Amino acid sequence: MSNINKKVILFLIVVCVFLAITGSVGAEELTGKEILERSRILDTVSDMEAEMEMNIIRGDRIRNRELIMFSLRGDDGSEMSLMRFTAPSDVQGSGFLTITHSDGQEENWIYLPALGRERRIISDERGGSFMGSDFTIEDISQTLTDYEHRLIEILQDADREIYLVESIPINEEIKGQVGFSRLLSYIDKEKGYLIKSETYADNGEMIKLLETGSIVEILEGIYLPGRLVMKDLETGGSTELIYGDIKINSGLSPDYFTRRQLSRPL
Amino acid sequence: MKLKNSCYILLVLALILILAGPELRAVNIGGQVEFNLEYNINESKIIETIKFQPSLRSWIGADIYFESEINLLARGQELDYDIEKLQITYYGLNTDYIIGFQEVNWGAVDGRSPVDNINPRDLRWPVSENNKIPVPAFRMKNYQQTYELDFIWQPVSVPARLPDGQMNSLTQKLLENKITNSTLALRLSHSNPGYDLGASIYRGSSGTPVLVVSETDREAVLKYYLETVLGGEAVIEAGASIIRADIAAAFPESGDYYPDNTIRFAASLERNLTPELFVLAGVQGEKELGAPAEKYLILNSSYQLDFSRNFDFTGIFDIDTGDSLFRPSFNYNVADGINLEAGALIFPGEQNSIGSMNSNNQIYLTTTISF
Repeated sequence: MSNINKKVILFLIVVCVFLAITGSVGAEELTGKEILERSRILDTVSDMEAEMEMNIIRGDRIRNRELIMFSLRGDDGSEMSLMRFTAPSDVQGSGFLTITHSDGQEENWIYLPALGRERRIISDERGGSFMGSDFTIEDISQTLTDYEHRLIEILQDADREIYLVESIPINEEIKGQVGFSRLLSYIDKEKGYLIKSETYADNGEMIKLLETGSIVEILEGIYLPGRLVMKDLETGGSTELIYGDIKINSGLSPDYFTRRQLSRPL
Repeated sequence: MKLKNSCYILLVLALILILAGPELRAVNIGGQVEFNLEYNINESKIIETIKFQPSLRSWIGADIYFESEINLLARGQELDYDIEKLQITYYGLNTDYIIGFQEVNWGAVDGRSPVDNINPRDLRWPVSENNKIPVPAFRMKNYQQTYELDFIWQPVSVPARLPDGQMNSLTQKLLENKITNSTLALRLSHSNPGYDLGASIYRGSSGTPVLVVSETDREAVLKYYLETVLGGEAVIEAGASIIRADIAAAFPESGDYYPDNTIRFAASLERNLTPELFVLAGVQGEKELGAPAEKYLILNSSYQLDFSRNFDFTGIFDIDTGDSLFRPSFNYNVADGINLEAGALIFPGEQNSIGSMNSNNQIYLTTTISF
């Protein structure tokens, strides 16, 4: 065999190996970050208002919360979220305001009617429970820039393809804040919505599992899971989040996401 | 008998509202009923208290909101009633206008802030954070981006409620206590990413009276006095902690029996040591010109056992005298709207300052039903 033939064969082998490694992903696929952005509703619409029901489940006991959530992505890349609790009676009127500035700095405010004033709360506790549920503040706010995202592979389900994206906190400080070291997200390739996510601790053990269902098309080509269930695999507790009425692009302005609105009656 | 009947009526009213369902709640009728059993350790006696706080809130126009709340209290053999809130708010473009009986909450620190002087306190519950007496006032809050300007005019001053004071309605109290000095107060606050700042000025009645002995008949009377209070406040996020600080300089009107100029201060540092454990440590006190400073250390912590149970502990320690207050409590959220709290109030020390409240040493059990 001539040297030229050897080189051609070697080149073909290298190409085949490369294709074998990357073949399932393909050169034209979105990046991990782009896939996650597509799955995040605030990256696809300008604002959203949604009625939500939260059921915190502990064995036979279920604790119910009803709330209205307003979200907005500002022109400068900042994100704002205002939540107002409407039931039950002992949390009615309570509110939670989060503003994530374009530089990543976050501000959190809480309003409790019994306190009678808005109160700035610690923003570094992103791994802490959100209103006693199994969702953390980070689960709700999802700061994508604090992770390195990687598309691992495209899985084939019965009738659909699924992106598997890995997210790793970019440094130890953020890992400490969010309380996990690895997040795997399973995202429907065609419709772009989150199917499930798995959260892993340092020792590689899965500690939380989020599963979604009741997919609704809120705008043409934009899908949203109407039901999310977060399971804490360490404690055995779980929290169900169900979307009710959803309004998209209704023209909310940044002026709505202020301390004044946090305490204003609904 | 009259008291018992009143309690039964209150209970039936509460049950009707609880069972009324969402239709009635949609017009914002709500409130809470609180049953408290308190065992006074020193006097070895049990005191029962039932508190019923119905409220009605409603939009009465596109931008006008009405709020009312009444507090009915049956304690031992006494029956008391008070207006907790009776106000109308007009939400303008950049300004809120509030008129009526209302509570104002100023200051950065939790609990008692030295710049929070608008509402007098109900001193029958000296350690309660929720013992403010509403005042009739006109309030205007103007918002300009990150700035907030708050103006208050209170035409008639309201006295504090003293532990031995007669139980009567707020209206009666206004008539009986002829404190006619009006109050003016102004506060400017500014929010930034990572910190808030505020400054205020208050000109009005002192929060608590001083004991004045009349020269002529040698009779001791309680007297309020006018004071001007300049205040400053700050909240700073420092990594995983938050620092809150308030400082106030009080300038009382001159008089032989009135206090001299006084600096009051409060500061705290808070953080979550673990996701379950919240801790706040602080210092609070005041320094009157020519008198030794009073300084207290404050510790507040809350440990969340699970989603329905938590342990709380509050400790106040007088640095100079060693007198203290310890308040451990256990909270159990039985179901949505139903909460149980068991705890104790202990005042150890030599009775130089807060230790003198040791006649209030108690253990208690409180059931609160919200509807």
